[in-house]
Amino acid sequence: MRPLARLNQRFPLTAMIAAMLVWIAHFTLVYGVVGLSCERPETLGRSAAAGWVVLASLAAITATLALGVASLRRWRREQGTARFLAGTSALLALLALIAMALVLLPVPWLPACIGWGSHAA
Amino acid sequence: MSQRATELHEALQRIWRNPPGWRALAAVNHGTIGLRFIVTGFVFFLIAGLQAMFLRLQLAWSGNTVLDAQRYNELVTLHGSTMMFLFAVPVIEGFAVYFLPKLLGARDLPFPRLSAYGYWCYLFGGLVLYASFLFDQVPDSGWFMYTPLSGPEFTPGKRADFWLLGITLAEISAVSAAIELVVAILVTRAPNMAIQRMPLFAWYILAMALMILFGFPPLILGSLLLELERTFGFVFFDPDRGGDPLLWQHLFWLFGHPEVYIIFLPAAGVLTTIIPTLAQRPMVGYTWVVLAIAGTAFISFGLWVHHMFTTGIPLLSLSFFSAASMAVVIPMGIQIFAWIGTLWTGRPRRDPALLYIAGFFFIFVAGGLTGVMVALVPFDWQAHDSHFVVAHLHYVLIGGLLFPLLAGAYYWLPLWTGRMPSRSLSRVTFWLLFIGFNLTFLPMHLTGLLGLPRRVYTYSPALGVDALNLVSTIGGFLFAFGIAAFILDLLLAAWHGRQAPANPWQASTLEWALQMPPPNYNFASQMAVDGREPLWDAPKLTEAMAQGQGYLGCARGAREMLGTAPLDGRPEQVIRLSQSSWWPLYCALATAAVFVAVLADAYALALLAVFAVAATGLASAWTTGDRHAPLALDVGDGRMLPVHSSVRNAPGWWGLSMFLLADAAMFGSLLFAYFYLWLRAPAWPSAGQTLLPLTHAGLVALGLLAGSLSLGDAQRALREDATARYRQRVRLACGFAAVAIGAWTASLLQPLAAPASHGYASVSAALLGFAALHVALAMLIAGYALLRLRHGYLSERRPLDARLAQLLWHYVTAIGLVATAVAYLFPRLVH
Repeated sequence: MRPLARLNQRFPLTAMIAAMLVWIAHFTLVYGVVGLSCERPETLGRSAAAGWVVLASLAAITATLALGVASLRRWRREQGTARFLAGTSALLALLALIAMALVLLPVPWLPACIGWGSHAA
Repeated sequence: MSQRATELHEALQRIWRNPPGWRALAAVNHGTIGLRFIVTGFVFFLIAGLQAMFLRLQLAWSGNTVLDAQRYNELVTLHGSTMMFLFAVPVIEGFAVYFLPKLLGARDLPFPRLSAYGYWCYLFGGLVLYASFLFDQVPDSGWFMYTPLSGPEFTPGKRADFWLLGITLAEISAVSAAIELVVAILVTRAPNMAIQRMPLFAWYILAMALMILFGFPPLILGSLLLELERTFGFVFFDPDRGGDPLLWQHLFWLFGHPEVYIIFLPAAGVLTTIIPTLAQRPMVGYTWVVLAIAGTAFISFGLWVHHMFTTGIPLLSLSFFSAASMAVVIPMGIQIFAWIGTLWTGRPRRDPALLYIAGFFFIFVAGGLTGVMVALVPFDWQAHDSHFVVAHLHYVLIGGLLFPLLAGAYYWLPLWTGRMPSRSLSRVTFWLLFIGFNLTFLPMHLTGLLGLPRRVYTYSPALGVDALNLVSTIGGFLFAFGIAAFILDLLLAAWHGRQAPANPWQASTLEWALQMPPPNYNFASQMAVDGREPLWDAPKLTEAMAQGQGYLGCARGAREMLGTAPLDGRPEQVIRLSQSSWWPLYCALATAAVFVAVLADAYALALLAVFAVAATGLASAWTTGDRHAPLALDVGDGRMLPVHSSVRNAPGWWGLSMFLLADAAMFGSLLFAYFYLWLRAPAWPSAGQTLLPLTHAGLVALGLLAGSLSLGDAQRALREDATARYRQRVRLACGFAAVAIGAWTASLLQPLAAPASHGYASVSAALLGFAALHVALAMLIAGYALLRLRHGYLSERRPLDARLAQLLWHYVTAIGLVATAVAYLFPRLVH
């Protein structure tokens, strides 16, 4: 059985919120990566922060798209509780996509580390 | 009502009644506990409101001397803390505890003693906070207790400790109620109430409760760390010794922002229950509203840094939080439009609640729009810490919480009292509140933009905001009159109101199938529900339940309730609930004793009280079981269902799982603190600190893994009814666990002997101490399971206690291994 189908069968409520879990993972990752790049440039490098953010965002957006499409397909063929869960899951995927796109939007225009450490001065 | 039905109601009344007189303190029924939460919360609301009146008097014009700076700081701290921790959260929990089972068609909540314990912790927490007046040690660092202001250097004495310990004690109740509510929603819905038929109120409460489980632990952890720093000199927030004051802000707002939605979502649940009734049509866009609830719950955890836009965080990071603050508007907007759509497409009746809902729309939407403004980083830099933010947060909180609650109070008054509210008085009350509110807070947008800082006891006349402040003060007193009128209105209606007819608003939800006021057992029987609007779909449901038709329409001497499957609501167990008991009160007293003893620097006494908490907690758990209970019971129509102790979806299993989620959130917050301090420290470990020995890490890993394997085998032994092997394996597991604790203790005694020396040592010691305490707890519960086995409560056919011990054990092993990897290996990676 494919992983997504297995998740739907064994943990249907978790499957319903899967896209938001991807959003949380993505959000934590980009926040962590920028903090690490700015404070510990020896690890990732300051200039690499934006690249990591774009990479993480594209990966998360791809995963969410896949989840959304799979949920939409299930919504079309299922009935009752399964249909409701699939419909909610698809809508949450749409919301997660918008939220991730909003995070990605300013990356080309904003230098990553401006402002960092001003509180320590 | 037939003779049989009358006898059934009388028998159920005997089984479910509270003890009379002062012994009612031992009551555990959800209706009683819910009302206690609501009434106590409202009393705290009045106290905090009184403080607000003093604050407004002081700010009425520049140079006023009603309060000096110190007293102003104290009152502003208590006003915010009381409103947020002792009014808002407990009152919404009270609403949830009281109404949820009634809306779900259940008889009670699944852990009545936990509800009672939570209530007492809340009350004692509030009393501890207010006891600070007796010692002239009233907290004065603001409701957010920012470090270093609240640290030992700038707030010596006990002011901050009263806040940290009192509020943490009250927070225990929030977490315990959250566990209770999640499990109630998952496994105690009416038969056939599949998840897509659940009342939207239950979705809102589910989201709120899960948010509490993830949102409150960071603050509980932060408070414990700050208390360790203040009391024992540990270092977490002192930058001179490897700490960072911003760590507190992160932990606080990781709680603090979700908190806004924790407060708002249940209030929105109240609106979503009332609006379809007023419009006499089902809610528009059920699935969209569920999406909005889940979306809000998640995204609200990505907003915390928007309270920290001015702290020097990288610009790109700020943009992430600004983006999330914008994104959360989408689900909020969906809800607003769903409510408007429902009213628009229905025929709204002009009942008292409708006016308050209109007030909610006006005030909350205005607060939401200023929220979008402060979510913009450049605007926030200008408005930060000004009265503009005070205006915004009051528009959101009073609009988003108080007005829906007042609407709910009028709506459910007939259910509580059997009397109808007065249309004319409720209108007068509304306009006093609405005009008073806007007069108070609308001018603050302007005073804030003109430069009036918040939390400062006076201001210069040169600022030119005297007149606007006077208007705010007049408005504040008008609002206070409105609250007084509301109380009077409610009391008059309760005493002299018109007798309420059955289902007075022609609502569709199950609470209106109850007698008014409702009996302790709620429903004489539990009927299957086949739609989202049970009383509209099946108008004869009320009569059928009153007659005792359907499931469990019988009285067998014990408090029984149906347990259903989490997804489709299929009946699958009979939950036998506990009777009234003093143990929750004893356990809460012991818990309060721990906090008070720490406050009094009596650490030996605190340790003794910890043992008392364990003893009373276990005694309470012990007396909830029944070793002679049948394994299965007839639930009606000759259908037999197993009793909960032998069922996979037993409430206890779900309850422990939810507790572990909250605990994992606390552990995650501690890991966040570890890595945050590492990120900010120039060296890790710092000069003079040593790495923790790998031999200790090896022993820990060995002890934990072997213990887990042994306990896994114990579980297999129980399934095979090999009780001697079960005992032996549990003892072996405890032996292995003792090895792990021994190795951690050796590390704490030797390389980490001086945790107060540096942030590295402090946070490493906290991590190991956290893991060691958890392993000790797992050993205690495993020992408890052995005792239950000996006394016949635990067996192959009643394996619940063993399942709980095993779940806890494996979880503890996992966090123990992670803590060990971080504390022992990570510094080697980055050294």
